[in-house]
Amino acid sequence: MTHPAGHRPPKWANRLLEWYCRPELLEDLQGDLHEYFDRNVARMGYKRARINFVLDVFKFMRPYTIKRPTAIYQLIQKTMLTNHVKITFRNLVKNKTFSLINIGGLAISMVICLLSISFISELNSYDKFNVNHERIYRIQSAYQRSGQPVLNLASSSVYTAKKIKNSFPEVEDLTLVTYGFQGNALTANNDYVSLNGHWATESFFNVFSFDLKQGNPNTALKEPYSLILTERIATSLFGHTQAVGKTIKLQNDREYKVTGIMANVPANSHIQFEVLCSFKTKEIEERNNERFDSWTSLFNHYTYLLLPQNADTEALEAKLINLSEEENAKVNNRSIVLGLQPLDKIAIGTPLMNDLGFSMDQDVVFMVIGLTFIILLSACFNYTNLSIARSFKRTREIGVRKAMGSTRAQVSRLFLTEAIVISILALLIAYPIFEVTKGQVLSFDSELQQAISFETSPKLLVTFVGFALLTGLMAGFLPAVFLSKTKVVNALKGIFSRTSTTSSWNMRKALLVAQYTLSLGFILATTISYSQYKYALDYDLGYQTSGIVNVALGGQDAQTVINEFSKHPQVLGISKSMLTLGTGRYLDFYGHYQNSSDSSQISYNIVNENYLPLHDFEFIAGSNFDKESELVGQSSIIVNEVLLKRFGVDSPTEALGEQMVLSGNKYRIQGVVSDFHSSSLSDEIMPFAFLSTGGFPNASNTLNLKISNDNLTETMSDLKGIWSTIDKAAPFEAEFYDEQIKQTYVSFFSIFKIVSILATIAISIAALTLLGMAIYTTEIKLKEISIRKVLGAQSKHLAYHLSKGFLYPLVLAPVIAIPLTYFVFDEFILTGISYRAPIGILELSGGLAILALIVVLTVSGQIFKSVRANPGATLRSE
Amino acid sequence: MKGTNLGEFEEVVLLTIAALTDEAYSVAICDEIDRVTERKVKLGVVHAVLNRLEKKGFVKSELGEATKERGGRRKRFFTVTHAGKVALTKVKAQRDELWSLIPDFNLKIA
Repeated sequence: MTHPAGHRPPKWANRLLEWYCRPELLEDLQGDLHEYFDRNVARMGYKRARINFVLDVFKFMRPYTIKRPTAIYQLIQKTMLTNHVKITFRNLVKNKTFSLINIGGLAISMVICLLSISFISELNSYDKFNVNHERIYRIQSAYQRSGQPVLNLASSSVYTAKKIKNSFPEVEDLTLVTYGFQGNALTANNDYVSLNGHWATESFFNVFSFDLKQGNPNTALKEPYSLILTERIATSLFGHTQAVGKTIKLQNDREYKVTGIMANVPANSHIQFEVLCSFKTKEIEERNNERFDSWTSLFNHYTYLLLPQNADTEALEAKLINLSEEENAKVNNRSIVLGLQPLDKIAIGTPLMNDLGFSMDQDVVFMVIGLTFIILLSACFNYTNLSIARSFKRTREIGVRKAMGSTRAQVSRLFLTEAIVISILALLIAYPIFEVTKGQVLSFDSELQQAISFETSPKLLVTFVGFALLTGLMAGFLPAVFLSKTKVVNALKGIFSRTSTTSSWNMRKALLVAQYTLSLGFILATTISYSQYKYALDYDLGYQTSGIVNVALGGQDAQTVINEFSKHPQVLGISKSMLTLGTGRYLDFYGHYQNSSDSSQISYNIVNENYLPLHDFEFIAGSNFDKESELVGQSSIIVNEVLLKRFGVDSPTEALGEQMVLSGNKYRIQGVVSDFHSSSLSDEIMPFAFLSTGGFPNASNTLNLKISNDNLTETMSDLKGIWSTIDKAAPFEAEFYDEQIKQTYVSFFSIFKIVSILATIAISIAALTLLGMAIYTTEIKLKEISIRKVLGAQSKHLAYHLSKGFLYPLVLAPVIAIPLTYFVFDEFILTGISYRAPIGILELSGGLAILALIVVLTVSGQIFKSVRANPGATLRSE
Repeated sequence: MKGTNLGEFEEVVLLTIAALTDEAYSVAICDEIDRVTERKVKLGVVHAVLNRLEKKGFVKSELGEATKERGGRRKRFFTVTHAGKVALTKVKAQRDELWSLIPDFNLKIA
């Protein structure tokens, strides 16, 4: 090779060229590239020249340069493949235990993989039915009140939508969707059917591709009081879908005209509705509300833009920011910054508050992919480990193959074929399990259950098969590389080269450590998430929740309902409130103490005089509210200790009778209660004030019923009966307070359930590997053990000798797993939770003990069998 | 009926091969085109064209002797075949005819 100054093009690129290029073109082409390389070295330096060489090698991959396999080569390929498959099946049948372990391990993990593949592909399909999905964007608003954190909202204001429509010519079309159309309609047989949906402007069908079966898409939402029904709701209203032109009378005594019937909304649409009402209707209803189309009224409206092909979104975003700045200058104390969110990033994306429909945090999606991959990897380790362990038995076969003229590539292909066949068999087992379990998985989370249907499409099935092939390649890669290395002479003589066996032994140990680590990590994750869940449920919130049922009033007059309910003998007490505390929700406003100019964010709830005693709040100073009826117009409040601390008041009694200004109104402190958790354990305890319903007669929407523990189900059905005499349309919405709190922490519970399933799987796979290795080790060392025994070795020493290979990795695993799991939970999963369960030695060592127990149980059976074997029988059989 | 027509670039390459006589191998052809037409030509393009011309029977090629540069690889030298010469002459005749039809003043560069 004659290159000046020892400058050479990259070896691998050269090889790649030799590999793909037709022999008749190769020499000339290679020469040309080298000549150019030498020139480039002189012109632009060694490094750049090498890069250029690599690029050129890739650029020359063209139809006319690429080798075409010869007929004989193809024939050999086909014959060899048949042979490989045949050998694979013979081997599967010959080593039934190993085959079962391999296929079983892969199948278990594949179930998880199939679940997450279909989960993610379904999430990915969200909103794609819209023909223009790539061109649709939603306006998002970053909303900030001064001194408070920024809220990233999915919604925007009517004002913004109008502004964009009138002064942004680059926007092709725009539709505004207002959330929360609701009404009860009378059916033909005098039942009420509740209609839920949105208001939308007339261009709705220009932007989205929902299937309007009857009616004109351009005009259906034009006139006020027009309704579009889905086929499902039309059928339950009229018994059929030929309903265009009919009128529907809703509770507010307005008549609506049906102007269109559309196909049911696809499950994979982030906007879900049964009814669409024309936006003009909303405008008429809100004509006296001057805030309706103000810049800052941005909680109920969603603006979707249709942009032209290849629109400059950056320029548009810059314009939106300009608009925001202009408008923000006109208002005080708050700012809104508008932005664009692509429709395709709604279902999987950065989580926004106040979203219109289902959306999944992309971090969660990445986590699902990550965990799935880990589980799959573990199953592949299992396969690799056992295949390499068994390699001794197959060295002769490889030797013979090579002696007959097999190339190394062909031997590798044999092992890859084996892995792929096994992986396809695993898929055949995994698929039915997937079909059965998918329903169960969804029941973890009610939101998921609505959003994900897990339908199996042909496309998905193809993906599954492709996935199985890929898994086979992944699992078979290492065995193929390792085993095809075997040297012919050594293999035939039965000599194992020392270096290759030790290196494979080291690798197997490393794989075993990896599997132990995974299992231990999952066990720890399970205990941590469960203890956090238990901790949250058992935590003393500072008030009683047991035996209390919260009933949503749903617009009914509170006093009427109280009068009816209190007649029931099992109802011990009833109070009214605005908000259910301890469930993660909160209301807040700004206020200050006395004449202080230092104001603070204060959470509040509006309750009547029964509320605090009913929930056993602990008074440390002052007294409860007076009776609601005597309190009308008065303004007393009851506050917590943190509030006093916030304003520097030392003793609770000192605060009694003092004045506070909350949201501009004056109040007098009548009592102080000790601190309690008003939101959820994720948040710190906030300054808190109870306001009396006396000042806000219409503010309460929940009744809190203290009921006696006897005959709970009977009481509940009685209450339901009473409710149905008061409200004929709306269902009885009552929930036990304890259940509501449980619901608040359901995400911990979901994590716990998911992690515990993954733990079980990881452990099962690890146990399978262990079992396989134990069987193998004892089998191969049977003679050695017998000889040792004959020479006088004791059973316990033999057992130690056999099991140390499995025990040492067990010591290493916690060293890696414990810090790693702790780090993951500390940094990612439990961040943002203020009150955490401590992670103690007990949880950590408990996990280790479980793993050790599993290892010992799996391995010991095999070891005892071989230690107890009669040496005479083993040795004589030679 | 592949190859009765000569593309514009094919014609340039073919002419260059004829011009370079004994020294016509890919890199030299590239350089020559570069020099004469002052346009950057990619080796990949020239290679593809040479391959096509050979298939059409306009050029034939043989490997030269081992060299010291090029990492020791031999060069493939191209020569224009009879068919190639015929094709070139034909193109030239067509061009000449068209030229002769142009009235003088139309080509005066203002």
